[in-house]
Amino acid sequence: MADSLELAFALNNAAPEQIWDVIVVGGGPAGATAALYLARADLKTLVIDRGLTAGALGLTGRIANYPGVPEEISGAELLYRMRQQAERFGATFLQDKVQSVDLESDPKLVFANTGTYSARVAVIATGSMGRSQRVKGEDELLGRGVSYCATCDGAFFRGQEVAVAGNTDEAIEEALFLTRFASRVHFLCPTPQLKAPEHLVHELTAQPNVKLYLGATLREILGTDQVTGVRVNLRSEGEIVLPVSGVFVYLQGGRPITDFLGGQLPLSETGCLQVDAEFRTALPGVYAVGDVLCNHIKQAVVAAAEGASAAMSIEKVLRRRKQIAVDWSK
Amino acid sequence: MSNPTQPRVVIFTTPTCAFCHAAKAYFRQKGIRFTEVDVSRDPAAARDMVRRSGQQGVPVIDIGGQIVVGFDKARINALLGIKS
Repeated sequence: MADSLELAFALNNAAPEQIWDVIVVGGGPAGATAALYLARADLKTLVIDRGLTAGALGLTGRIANYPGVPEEISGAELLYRMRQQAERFGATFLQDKVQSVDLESDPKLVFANTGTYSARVAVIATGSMGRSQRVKGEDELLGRGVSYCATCDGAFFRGQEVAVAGNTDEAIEEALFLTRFASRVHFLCPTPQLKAPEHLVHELTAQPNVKLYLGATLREILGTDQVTGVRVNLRSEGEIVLPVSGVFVYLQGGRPITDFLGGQLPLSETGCLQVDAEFRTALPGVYAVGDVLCNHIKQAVVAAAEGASAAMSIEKVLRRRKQIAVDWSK
Repeated sequence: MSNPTQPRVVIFTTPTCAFCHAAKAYFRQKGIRFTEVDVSRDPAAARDMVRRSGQQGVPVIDIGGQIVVGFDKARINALLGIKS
């Protein structure tokens, strides 16, 4: 074993990665609009986002009151258009989950599953669909069969049965990754339908080792030292127990998503981030926009406006202007 | 500067693991020499890691025989004598 450990010493000195002007965590209407304005101001902008349907707008079935979009379209379609518009100005979108950040270092460090990303400025736009409560057994068995990252931990479940709980494109992508390792993937969708693009749903259901359960609520994760099963309530059949050794959880709730900040920014009593009139948080170079803020009207147009305002404030700081530039195209 | 008497540090990782990146960045920042084992490419090492730690998740860090689960900075600091 000792020899094989020494031989494994390879990935130790990765080349220094590029430093972005701005990293936006979250690609909903606030984050995508911030990216659109930042990229248009010629700032190198990276948006890290978990998936098109991982947030409130992407999950919305129909939008009819977004100004300038008279036709009724899905939230995912509207968001896709926003992202395309930002990409046209040069913004980069990365589908990944940010797990941790170091906001006091210079440059700021953002730790995602695919790597570490650095930027002069960070924008927190993670929305408010975080989970508020855990399933029984989840905390006790975390790391002992319970995981929030298939791409991190999937390799431990070779030839074993696992469960995935969720209904978004993020949950489906993770389940598809697990099909490479697990003998069977039980996909527990809490809603009557999956909330993801059609092609992803087809890809999931076409996998021979995936069993999809619609209207399936994860009630309890069973086991003492290791996961031995899950107790699931099915709308159609009542309660069942599935004998799995891994559970990957991608469920949502109604709390602002701030856990990845590790207490580096102050939160309100209700768990929301706090900012000033220019969307600056308590830490220099760190901004927050959208539903992750307090006392907020949860509308895409409001979140988008906040993204634009923050972007203009950031541009002023990075370009050392005294005042916000009204129009960068001039 | 690296400490010539530091305990042997082995970190079990997968390529797509944010806290593995964070832990490695921290070791580099503090000048800690470490050995990395990518368990996604080495099923035997994955089994060995589960046996030694009881964990089916990464990172797991072995510091001089003491197992640290996750990127637990306080415990790492204590085992390596790093002043925060």
